[in-house]
Amino acid sequence: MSGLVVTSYGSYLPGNRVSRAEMSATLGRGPLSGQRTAAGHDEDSITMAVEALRAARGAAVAEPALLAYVTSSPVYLERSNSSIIHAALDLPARVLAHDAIGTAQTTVAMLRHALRAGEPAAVVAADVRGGLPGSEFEWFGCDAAAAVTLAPEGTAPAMARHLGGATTTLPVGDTWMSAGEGVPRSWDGRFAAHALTPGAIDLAEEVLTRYGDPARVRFVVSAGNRRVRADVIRQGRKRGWTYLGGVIDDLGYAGAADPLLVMAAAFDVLPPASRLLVLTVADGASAHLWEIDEGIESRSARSLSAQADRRHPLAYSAYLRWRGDLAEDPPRRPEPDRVSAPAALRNRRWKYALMGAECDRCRARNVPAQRICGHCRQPARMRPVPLQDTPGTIRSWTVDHLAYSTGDKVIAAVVDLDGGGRLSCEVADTHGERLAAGRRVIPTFRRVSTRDGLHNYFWKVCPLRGEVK
Amino acid sequence: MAAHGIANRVAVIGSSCTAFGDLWDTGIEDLAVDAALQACESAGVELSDVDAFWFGSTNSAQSGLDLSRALKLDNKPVTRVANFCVTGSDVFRNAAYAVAAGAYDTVMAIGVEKLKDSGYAGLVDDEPPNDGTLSGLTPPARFSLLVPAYCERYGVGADTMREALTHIARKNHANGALNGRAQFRRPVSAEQVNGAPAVAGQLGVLDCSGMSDGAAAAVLVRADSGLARNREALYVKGMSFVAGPGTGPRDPGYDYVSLPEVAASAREAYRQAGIRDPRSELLLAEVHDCFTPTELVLMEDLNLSRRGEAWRDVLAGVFDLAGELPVNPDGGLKSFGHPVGASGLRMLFECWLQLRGEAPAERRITNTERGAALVHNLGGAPGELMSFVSVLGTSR
Repeated sequence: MSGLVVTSYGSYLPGNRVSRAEMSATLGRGPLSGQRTAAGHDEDSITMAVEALRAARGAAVAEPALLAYVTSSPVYLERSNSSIIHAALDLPARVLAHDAIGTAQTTVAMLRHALRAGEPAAVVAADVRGGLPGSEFEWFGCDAAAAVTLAPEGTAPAMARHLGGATTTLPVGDTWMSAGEGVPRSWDGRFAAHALTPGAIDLAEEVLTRYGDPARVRFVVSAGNRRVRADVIRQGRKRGWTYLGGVIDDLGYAGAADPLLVMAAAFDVLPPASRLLVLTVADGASAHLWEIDEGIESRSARSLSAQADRRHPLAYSAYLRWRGDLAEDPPRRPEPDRVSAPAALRNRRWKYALMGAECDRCRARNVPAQRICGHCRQPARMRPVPLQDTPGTIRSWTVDHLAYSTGDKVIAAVVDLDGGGRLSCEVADTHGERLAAGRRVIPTFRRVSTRDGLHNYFWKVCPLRGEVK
Repeated sequence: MAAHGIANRVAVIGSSCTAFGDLWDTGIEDLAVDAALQACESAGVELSDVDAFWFGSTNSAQSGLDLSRALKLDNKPVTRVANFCVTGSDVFRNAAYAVAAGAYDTVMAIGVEKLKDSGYAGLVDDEPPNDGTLSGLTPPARFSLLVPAYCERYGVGADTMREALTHIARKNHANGALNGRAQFRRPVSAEQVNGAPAVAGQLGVLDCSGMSDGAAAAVLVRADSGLARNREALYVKGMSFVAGPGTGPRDPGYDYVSLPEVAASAREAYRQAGIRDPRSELLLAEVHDCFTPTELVLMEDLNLSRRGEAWRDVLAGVFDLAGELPVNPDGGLKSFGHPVGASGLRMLFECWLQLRGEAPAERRITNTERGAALVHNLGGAPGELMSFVSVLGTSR
């Protein structure tokens, strides 16, 4: 026992849904049901990780000493992706942020390492799950992110505590993605079930037996292979264990994010004192047992099922365009300029964390900080004011048919922030909604543009839904 | 602390303007030479008589050498000016100050722009290296923000607003159709304007000025010089140029219903020129109609309409060629075209023609009681704007 407990968690699902029936019909394949979740054209494994951590941080008290970021769809291989996430959260420089490139086991391993290290930590995993058109990876992939924060017992209310776990490693090779290829491929699913299921079930049984009464426990499963997942659930039930199904069953596989995502889905619904076995099956298996604690009562209202219910249809053609799988004639406009690294570093608190400022003379909010206050026009010392969680109201807005865009037409708005200051920025995730002055919005971290392999991250706003007045 | 102005100290003795348009067969050198030689001819001077040059170009030049090379100037000072869309007028302003200061006897203000060689649609900004947080919106999108805000403030319905904007587009196209130098020389119907492909917000292609190639120039001398006395000169009566604090996109205090920088520059220029009621005193106004809602809002900021009533005046035809105060009788940016660095001097050229009775008969404005004209030129976008206003007159 390390003395660390889960003090918060968060999940992020993009709002776009692509009909599996449309995907399969486009290639003349058989009928499918349901929808897959797809990242927006301005989202990637970095932006989604930021959103999951923002959701988790709502309840977190302590700053982490460590930020571990796991993905199998890294934006950069050289340059730390997590340094951007670190900056977006405005974490102190002394916080170690590092990438762990890998998939589900890596996520489980990072969680295990963090638990053993004994320092406050945040573990976040995010993946954009692609696949060749017509593959199960494409149809049943899910773009998502999930995060947990850990802190020493007693420093913050515990949502869950780790009781114990075990891991096996086996070079099964049922699924693989060559470095550089970008799309996963798989062996015959029956082989995968044969090779993985029995070992996973044995491991689960061992952990359940070691840590008490299996009858008290609910179990959830993360497995990239659909047949393996169904097989493990069936075998578990046969042994009398209770499977905790729900929204997660229809989402598809979220790669590196999947183990934390299934855990988050369970944390969303389990009451205090219940126990949860998270069984991850990939290149072996991991079984970890958690006990839910009283702190769970303060979990975020932004549950996974609430996010899954937001279903905004995205045409398959748009999905392909956004992923670069369907090249189109570019507009006769120049590509956006490359971001200046020195300028981005100097202005990092504004650019990455959306840090505004308040004038020490007249108290007016400046967005971002200025040397001379925009209100009293006097040289001023500016006190930082975080704005990334500040909602605002659209004052005027427009659709720019001419501007360069990574997706469709650029929609932009002038947004007056609650408490003062104004943002003039793009509006994300409108999903065809016609905006109007007065519409409430909230900042969201996005990839604005790309040039020469260098991505430009900044904040947009998205419609604020379900606001409590 | 005050802006003193240079009323009656500087005279324009020559003005020129090339044809504007998609000049595929004309390079920047051709444009510069044509505008410069025509201005000299208009002024009755030789190129070698010009003591100094102010040269405006936003996207087509890098330095004064681009002009001195084209004109083969022998060791004359050439200042290159680039100040967004107000470049042409800032060129004029700095040239006028040099004359007023007594530094030179004869100077040339020249603006040259070659936009059509880029291959891009619309105007392209060349931004300095930055942190990637600046707005990537195009000018039409930034000006389109005026429309919903204006409608909301004054309770103008969307259909009425559309009618007013369409009226402005049709007026300027009708005027441009009478101008042999204009880029677009065809009248347009309301159906064409309303059905044009969308560009930004509620603006279609026919709500936007034309990106074009072109050049314009003027020759300036001291008002008390023999050159001014011997020619039918125009005199700078009032001139103001301001750059706002650029806080509009960040400060909820800005409402996107007016352009305060324009109002400030107009007040100052009118004060210098002694203009009290511009609508009844001016013969014409050349204004920066980069987009139709810009011209609408400008009518109020230039005090040609009361606040909230420009749409009504526009629809009543007040600013039509045959109206009470013709605005953009040459077609404006809208149909004459907008070669950025040249536009301010193109506006001056129309004042030159109209005030001296030299405009072609079909669009000549005759009113012997009015001897002053207004040039309004701007750069930037609502909320972060520079504005230039000058008043030119036929007498000292």
